[in-house]
Amino acid sequence: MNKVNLILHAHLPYVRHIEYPKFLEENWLFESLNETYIPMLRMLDRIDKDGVNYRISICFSPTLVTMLTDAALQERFVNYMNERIELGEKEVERTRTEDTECHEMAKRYLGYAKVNLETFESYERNILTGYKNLADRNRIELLTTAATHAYLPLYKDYPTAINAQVIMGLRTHKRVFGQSAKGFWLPECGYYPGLDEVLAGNGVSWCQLAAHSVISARDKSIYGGYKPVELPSSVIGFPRDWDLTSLVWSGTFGYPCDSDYRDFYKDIGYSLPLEYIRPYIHEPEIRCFTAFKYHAITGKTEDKKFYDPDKAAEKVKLHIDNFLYSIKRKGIMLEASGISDPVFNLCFDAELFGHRWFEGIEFLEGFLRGAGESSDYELTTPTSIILEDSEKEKLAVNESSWGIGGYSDTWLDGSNAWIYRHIRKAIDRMQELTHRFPDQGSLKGRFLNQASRELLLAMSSDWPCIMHDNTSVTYAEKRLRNHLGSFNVVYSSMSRNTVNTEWLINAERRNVIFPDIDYNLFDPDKAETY
Amino acid sequence: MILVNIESLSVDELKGIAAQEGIGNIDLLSREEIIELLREKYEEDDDSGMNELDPNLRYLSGITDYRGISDYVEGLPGVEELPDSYPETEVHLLMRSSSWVYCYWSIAPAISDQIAEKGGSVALRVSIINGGKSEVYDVPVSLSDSEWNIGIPYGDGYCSVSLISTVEGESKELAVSGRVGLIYPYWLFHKEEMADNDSLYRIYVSLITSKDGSMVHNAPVRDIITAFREADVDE
Repeated sequence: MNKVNLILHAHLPYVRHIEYPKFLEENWLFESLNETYIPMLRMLDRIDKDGVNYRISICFSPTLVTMLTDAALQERFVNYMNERIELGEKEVERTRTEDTECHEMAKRYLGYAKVNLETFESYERNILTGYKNLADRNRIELLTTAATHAYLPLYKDYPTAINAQVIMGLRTHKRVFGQSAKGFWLPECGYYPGLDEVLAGNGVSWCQLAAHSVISARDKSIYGGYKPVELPSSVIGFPRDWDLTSLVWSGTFGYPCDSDYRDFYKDIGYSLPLEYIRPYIHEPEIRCFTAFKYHAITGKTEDKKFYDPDKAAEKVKLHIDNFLYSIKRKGIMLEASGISDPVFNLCFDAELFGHRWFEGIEFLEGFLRGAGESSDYELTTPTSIILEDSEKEKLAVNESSWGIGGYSDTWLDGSNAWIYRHIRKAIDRMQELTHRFPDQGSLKGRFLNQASRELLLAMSSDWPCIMHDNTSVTYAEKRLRNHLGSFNVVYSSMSRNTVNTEWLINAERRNVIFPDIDYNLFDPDKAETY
Repeated sequence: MILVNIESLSVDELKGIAAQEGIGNIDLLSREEIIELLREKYEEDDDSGMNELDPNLRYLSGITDYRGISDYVEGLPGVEELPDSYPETEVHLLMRSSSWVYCYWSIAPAISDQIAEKGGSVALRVSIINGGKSEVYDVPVSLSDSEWNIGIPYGDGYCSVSLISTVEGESKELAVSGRVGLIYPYWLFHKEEMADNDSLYRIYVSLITSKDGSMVHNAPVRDIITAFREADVDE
């Protein structure tokens, strides 16, 4: 039997700018809700009702769950969806007489927008309730990750900061989902020897690991990553199967690259006349995605053919069959090599399915149905595997990540190395503040708590990642400087024994995250655990 | 060995590495020429795929890469500027990869001024303890420098760096970094076992090789695979 651990990681950086009527980067959340989180919930709910015997694991990062449960952002998402519906109605009319090849898809997009908004409202705007229901029915194992998705290996010599990231991740999960997480998604698969001790100390049972961590481990592995790995602390590591995940993930040969699939980039927000599209792009006239895309990938050409959903659906079936076959064939090969009941750990970013790969939700549904109905596969979760107490091997693993080169080069290169001087200094200073001002209540306590919030937000792996990728660099830099600057406001004010109350109230309103944070987490002398 | 993201190194760092590698006339070369020569020196494999979109990476960039709206965020609320450096004397070491560590430091203005006034110099004293053996060498840096990349080997041990000033012939340790552990891949230190592990080799390879034959991008993996092949395992 091939044991399949499908582990999805849903994460977005904390972006909330309600001081603006609209803020473009908030669309990261809205697009992912509309195209991934809501349709995926509906799909998982549907196959559960159909009695499909499926299990998957999903990590919702603390920053994402905070945004998904934020009333202001929920309201803004409803506005976003109402705009999609209004645009959809206009598009259905427009494509009756022009671009008529797009008419069918225009109707579909309008339908998707309506049903997504209905789903959203049916959960009283908190879709996490739906995922929690599925977890209660034992379909999903929910897990968490570091508080702000910090890339932990670069902070390993600051145990307080590592502990704060772990504790606030677990605490946020418990507050939102009502139960403790057993699994902890290592941001960017970033592991270093000793991190598992911190996880174990906080009650975590398992984490995922980078694929290359097994062959390059400090010990000799005899299962090659096809059985769980018992790390020195007894936390269980699940190494990612790079071969199987790349069938989906590869930007050159992965399934989503198929020429018949819908193109991600060609969007009417960029192509239709401004006077028509202006109400649905960003003010004043910044073109952006609208979610209305009518072309297929076609190939490396500007001249894209129109998207044919039926043709794409045929390809989805082929790709599902190929994926199932690839797992089965690999299982046979491993069996012949003496490894029975191999465990395949398939780790993906959730936003790939639906948002980036339009047909991805359909693919997932077909895969779960296919695997769930076949005796060749057992869809499972890491915690179930641990409870079975099946074979595992003890292994000491070197530092590793899933970034380029397998270490820290993505988050520490010429574009972003400068940030660590400042963030690590802020950690030093936060530790210093906990000693100078221990156990403060009232305004001073709130001021110090805000400093620890700003510090955690500055530690997010998203900012150096964006700088490395050279994408929304200006925004990432602004955010980082903003959080560090805010931290310095507290540090310099406290050094003068003053509290800037007006600043504090504004800062608390700006970053409504980690309401239960306690700055004493950063006290090196207090080894607080979750 | 490969040079990872060599484009991200400063000209001074590139010159330092080029000098270590015995490349002459460095001052006459452009940044691009130094990079090219270093690549040749390190025989970087053009087919390694390092420049391609890494299928390991998260899709965050996919979410953001269509924006190109940098002007738009200029209007975000301003905050106080961050200092270029902090007025403390300290040195820190961060692990970048199995073959590089990143070192950054600062020197308190009073100390820095004193060194400059007396015509002194500053160096990074790199200590590598590997398998019980110790290697120590100095990397001269200028008072205006504040960061450097240092090559490290595989092994069972660690690397640390001291910030050293030399004034009027007298050396003084200004600050010491924490330790960064070296990467110790079992197989690179037990090559003699490789020939007897054909089956295990195939299992390893199956986890990290994609359908187009490319392997996960990682220097120890590449070195381990090369060593297995040299051990003549049956593929």
